Amino acid sequence: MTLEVNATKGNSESYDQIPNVAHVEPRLPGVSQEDGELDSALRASYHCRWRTIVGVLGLLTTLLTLVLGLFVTPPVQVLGNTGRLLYVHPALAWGALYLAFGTTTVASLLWLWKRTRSLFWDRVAGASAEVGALFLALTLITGSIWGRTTWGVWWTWDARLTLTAVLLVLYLGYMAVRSVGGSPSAKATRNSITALIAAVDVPIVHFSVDWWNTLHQKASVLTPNLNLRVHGIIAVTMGISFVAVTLIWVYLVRLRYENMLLEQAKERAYISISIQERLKESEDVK
Amino acid sequence: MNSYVVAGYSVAVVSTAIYGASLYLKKMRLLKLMGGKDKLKPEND
Repeated sequence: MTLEVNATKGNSESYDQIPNVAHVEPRLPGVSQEDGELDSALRASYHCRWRTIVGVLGLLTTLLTLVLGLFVTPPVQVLGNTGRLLYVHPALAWGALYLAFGTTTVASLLWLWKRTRSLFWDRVAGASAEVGALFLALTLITGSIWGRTTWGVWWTWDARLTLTAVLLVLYLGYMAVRSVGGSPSAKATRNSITALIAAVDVPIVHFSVDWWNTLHQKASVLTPNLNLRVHGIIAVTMGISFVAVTLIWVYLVRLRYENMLLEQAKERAYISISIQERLKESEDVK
Repeated sequence: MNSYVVAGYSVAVVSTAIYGASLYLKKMRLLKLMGGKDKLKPEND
């Protein structure tokens, strides 16, 4: 019970006033399995040079997408210069719906399955969902700009658009659920179940253009037989934009994952401070 | 160049850059609070 009370205090912003927790042994008396996992993950995060390499590659491919998309590719037939949004909007949608939320769903399942249960998966799920929510918000914004130039409106209650907005709200809700307190295991189980509920909307968004008559066009990059509908420099630029979003997603998820580790270590150090203070108080009373 | 296209590219790149920078700065702040990156060195454990 004392631990729970202190854990709540550990989350409190007022504890941010403590200038430095470096002198505190960040471990509770009697190392639990969860503490051991956190220690291993912290040690493993020390040697992570590949994140920098992925970040640099992501930056280079993004710059290449900008140059090709804005200056090299010709205006798209019918759409004109507006068609240059093809190199941003679909790639962001890929990053959010399939890459980020797909990873969150798989990682949540891996936590729920006892054989693969590890807090690593919960952190991956949370980090991926956060980056996915950013990409999805950007998908909606760039889609809205696309709509204004091609349909004449910033927003319409089209099935694809509405369901995508609902998906964003679902994942924002998932992130809110992640901030609710509890033991790491209880939190991870709650997070995973919430993620699976949110994931139900992903295939609905995907098939919405086939199931209903929508203003949003049907799949325009690949045919149902997985053949490309676009060719030449346009296909190359689109491919590079997809690679750029994938690399940036990997970089950001890894960085967010490392932040989660450090946040948990900080929280554990604060709990340790609280316990030491209580023990000292009880000794003083004696 | 179409101003809508420029707006689309700008909002995507700038928002992602701001998010990435905020994550990086937060990591630096947390590392400082925990006593620096060397605390995570496997040899020191």
